[in-house]
Amino acid sequence: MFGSKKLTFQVKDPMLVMCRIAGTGDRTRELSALVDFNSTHCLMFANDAVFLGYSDVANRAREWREVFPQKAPYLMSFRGVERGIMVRLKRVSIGPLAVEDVTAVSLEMEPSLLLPYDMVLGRSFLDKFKLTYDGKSKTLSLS
Amino acid sequence: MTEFELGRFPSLFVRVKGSNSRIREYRALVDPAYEYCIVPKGDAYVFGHPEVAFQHETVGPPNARTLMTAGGFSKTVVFEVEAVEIGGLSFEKVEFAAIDLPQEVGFEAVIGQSLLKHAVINLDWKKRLLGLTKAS
Repeated sequence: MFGSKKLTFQVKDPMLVMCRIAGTGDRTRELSALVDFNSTHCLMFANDAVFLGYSDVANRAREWREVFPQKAPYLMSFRGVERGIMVRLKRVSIGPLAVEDVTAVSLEMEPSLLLPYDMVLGRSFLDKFKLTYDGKSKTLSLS
Repeated sequence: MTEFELGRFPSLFVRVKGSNSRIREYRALVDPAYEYCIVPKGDAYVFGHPEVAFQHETVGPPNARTLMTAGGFSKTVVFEVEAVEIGGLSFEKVEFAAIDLPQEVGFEAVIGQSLLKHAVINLDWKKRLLGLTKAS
């Protein structure tokens, strides 16, 4: 539903969408993203973050945390407690829905490349919307 | 429609009735990224599935499955429970997987796709409400 503030789309299993990330300068990437409202932040690979101009993620999270503890948070996932480096993405958008200044974390132990997505869209993006998921028709609505 | 307060993580109070009529209650995380609902292995045993103890053998039980999770490949046993009650809603014949989640996660059980495919969930972070409706 382009042109309105509501977007409804068919999702696969798991819930994958294409999103556009704008970084510093004019750098932009289009990535396949897993919609996961249980992740407190968006998660992304370090090489994508570096391409978008966030070179901080090239640091070691353990050492970066000693200098900037607020920029290297601990997160909880089904893998246990994890650590990463946090950046603020200039703009994240899915179709007409866009959010500016979104926090994203590049994990110290990156997700397996076997997983079918490039990043995770977490609550730092999703909590700006009302989300409806219909499991029968496999549709996700953001408004 | 059943509504719950949306806390830090979307979670629901659920009552699971096994095929042997044993009942367990959980505060369960809602996660459509999981193919199956999840309970701990010990509770799968209580629900009448002792094969959870043999799932890692070379020739596992017929209901053993290999799942792809955030932590990599995971071998588990899948079984059906009689019913899952959430508030005033009841879902019958729901498939569960027996997985012990890390203790620091804070949840023992997960409500995944095997139940959510029969439901509609609404998450409103502004009002801090989690709504669940049975799909028509």
